[in-house]
Parts: sequence; C-alpha cells; structure tokens
Amino acid sequence: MAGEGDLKLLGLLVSPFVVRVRMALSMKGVSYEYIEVDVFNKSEILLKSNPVHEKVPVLIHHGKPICESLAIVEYVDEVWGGAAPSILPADPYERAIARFWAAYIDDKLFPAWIGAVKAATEEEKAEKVSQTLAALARLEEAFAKCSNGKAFFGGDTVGYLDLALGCNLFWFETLREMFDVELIDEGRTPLLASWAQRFGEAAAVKDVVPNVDKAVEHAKKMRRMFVH
Amino acid sequence: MDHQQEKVQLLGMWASPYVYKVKWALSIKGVEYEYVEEDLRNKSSQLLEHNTVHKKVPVLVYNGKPVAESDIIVEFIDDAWSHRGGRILPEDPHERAMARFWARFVPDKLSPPIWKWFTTAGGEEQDAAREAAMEQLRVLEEELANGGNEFFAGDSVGLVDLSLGALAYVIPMYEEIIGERLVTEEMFPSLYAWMGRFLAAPPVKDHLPPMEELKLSGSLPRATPGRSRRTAANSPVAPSSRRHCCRPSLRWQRNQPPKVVGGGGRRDTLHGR
Repeated sequence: MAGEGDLKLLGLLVSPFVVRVRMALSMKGVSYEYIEVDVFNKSEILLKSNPVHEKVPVLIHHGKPICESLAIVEYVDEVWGGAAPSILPADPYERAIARFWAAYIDDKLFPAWIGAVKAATEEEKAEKVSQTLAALARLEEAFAKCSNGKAFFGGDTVGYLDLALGCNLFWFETLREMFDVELIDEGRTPLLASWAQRFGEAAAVKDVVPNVDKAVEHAKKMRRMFVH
Repeated sequence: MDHQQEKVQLLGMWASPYVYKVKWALSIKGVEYEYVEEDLRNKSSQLLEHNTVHKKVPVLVYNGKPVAESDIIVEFIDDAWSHRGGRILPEDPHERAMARFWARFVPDKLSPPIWKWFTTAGGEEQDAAREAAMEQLRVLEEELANGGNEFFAGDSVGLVDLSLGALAYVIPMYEEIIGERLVTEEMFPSLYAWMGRFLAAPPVKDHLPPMEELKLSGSLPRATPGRSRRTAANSPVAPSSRRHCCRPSLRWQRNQPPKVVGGGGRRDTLHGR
C-alpha cells in the first residue's frame, strides 16, 4: 500500500526505536522515504522536525512531524487502520496492559541494557546486566499473562507489545557478541526465548532488522564518545 | 465494553497529583467509582496485588482488573467510556500523536527543572534552575498561544491539560512558599490564563487537594535560612512545621510531601507516573 507519496522517516539504522517504527510500517505494507540521520551531527531537518527532543525516529506525514516511537506506532495503526493486521488490541483493557508493558520496556529495560553498553567499568556493566535480567524476568511473567498460551504477546499475530520488545532483540545479540552475555536465555526465560525465535522469523518484521555488526560498530562509537 | 454491571475503584493518596489526574479524567466521563485512600507507608495487600510491578498509586481497578500508571489509566478511561463525556484524546490521528507527545513533555522536560528551582537553596544555582524552568515554560507558552484555544487541544479539558494540570496549583503554591514568581501574566500570558481556566473547569474544580494541608505536609525544600526571601514572620507556613522540615516529625511522616514534580527521574518511591 502506498504511503501516499508523502511519508518520510528520519532515523538511525541501529536505533531500536527506529526499527520499532519500521516494523510497524512494514506490517501495514506502507512505503516511505527513509532518511538516515547522523545523530552525532544532527542535521537541519531533524532539528526542525523535533526541536524539543532532537531525537529519532520522526515520522513526517504530509509535512507534519510525529515524534516518540510508541506514539508513531499508534499513529500508523490508526491512519492505516484498514490494513490488516491491527497492531493495538481492540479491547480497551488489553490496550492498557500492552501500553503499560511497552512503557516498562522503554523506562526500565532500555536504560538497563544501554547502560551496560556504555558502562565504564566491569562493575557498572555487571550491575546494568543484572538490572536487564530483572526486567526481562518481569516480561517473562507478562508474556505468560498477555499471550494466553498463544505465539505472541498480541495473540496469534505480532502486535504492539511484540514490536515494543522485539525491536530490542538485535541489540541483545550485539551484547552477546560484545560482552559474551546471554540476556534472553532458555533456562531463565523460556517463554521469551521461544517467543524471540518466532518473532525473529516473522515475515512482517525481519527485513528491517539491521545486521549485528552495524550495531557493534555503533556501540563502539558510542563508547568512544561517552566512556572516558 | 459492557457497562451494565461495572465496578470501578481508584486506589489513591490524597496528595498525589497523579491520582488527581485520574480523578479529573473520571470526572470528564462522569464515571462513578469507589475511592480508596492508601497509606503509602503501610501499603494495603490490595495495592500490592494490583500493582506488583511498581507498587504505587494511582491504580484503577475495573471489575477487579487493575490498570496502573496515570497516563495509561487516562487513555483507558477515554477508551472504555468512549461513548460518553468529552473526548480526552482528540479524534484526528495526528492530533492524538501530538497530544501524547506533549503529555510526555511535562514529566520529561518540564517537571524536573521546576522541582530543581523549588528545591535549590538560593544564589546562582537557583537562578540557573529558574532560567531552565522558564525555558521549558516558554516552549509550552508558544504551543498554547499558537493553538489559540481555551485548552491545549480545544474547548475542553484534554490529555495535555490533564498532564500539565497539577502544575496549575503547584506552581502558585511553590511561588508562595519561596516568595518568588515563576509564571507571571506578563511573561506567560497564555499559560497564566490557562491555569485559571483549568482550575475553574467543571471536571477539575471540585476535585482539588486541600491546599493548606498540602503546604504544611512537608513539601518545603530542605531549606537553608537564606533560602526564602520572606522572613519567618510573614511566611505563609507556620514556623513550627518549618522547623520540622529538616527532621522528620510525626506529621511529616503521616503526610508525605507531594513529590509533584519528581526529582531526577519521572518516578519517586511513592507516586506512580
């Protein structure tokens, strides 16, 4: 389905938040112009589109910018509502639960694992890894409740919460490669381990996941900039 | 959703601005509910069961099923009672996305510098904090002025108004306590006018915390004597509670300070977001 010719996405290839939005657009079969932004040297178009936070992703539809990846995913679901499948659940209560866990992922899980990437000392890294594992343990319980025995958080098909967590998976592989740490592990979080496998194979989303070596490269750049 | 036999409970705490946000949303929709006051120093088993992740208020319990986090509760209220009351989120998808964006602006960008201004003890550091807070207020002022509406998204109280709402009573309270203005009519005409309209709006005006109790509840900063530009004699706050602000008293412990604009992060130990 065409993005009506006037749909742009400002992004960073390895940002999980950008990947999240790309997955949503891919699920809806929407075409768009992707513009890679150098976040270390922010461009004019980014500063104009997101003057408040100066961050990616920014979706620009008919010239109007939309910021914050979860808000963008909801927007995409609403605008291309007719295009199956639906990303958000239909039931208000299930929507609330999905939003709750998505917020948890961004507020608790993300700072923990990115903290591990940026950690200056082994001690700090171990602490951050520990926090990441604790958050994933919570998400394991959440999966048991939300999925109701089905394949995904959203049920039979990939949904909002699957995207919210799934966009982080390639970074978990990156951390495995960089630090030899297994974040989603069959022993500790068996449900998430098998979910991650299924998610990785889902046609709608796998084309937008970047190669792990690109993420490793970016992580090294970040560490050079932020770790002294 | 079937509203025939619904039972709605709100677990809250009298001083929490996040709880008021939910009360205002319920009021917009005209929902009847049972309010349960939680003692946050002695959390009920019901609260712990319903919010195992964050253990905080507010929690809305809909037919026994809990929803936590005030922003999420507000969206749930808008979804669940979409058939009545005013719209809390706009209809148009782009406007909805903007509403969600501005709702996040408050805890992420605005509240931290305001809290810093309120709790910094005078001098250059406080001036810098005040300037940082004003910079964010200017962003909001522009947004409100450009919209040209009574409230952020239109003629009635909506998501962004609810998100900002508590600041309408908290900022004047802080200004009174430390004897310094932050939001004046001259500097922020739109915001100033919005504050008055918000506090007088039907869903809000009968659901505000008791201001005197709030002032005396220990919301004072851990102040140094030079902090306030007023003398003890004409301070609005009783000298005895000022004396207790630096060490816990029974009263301070009972009435937890409303961490309205939350410290470094969006969450503190007592209140949900």
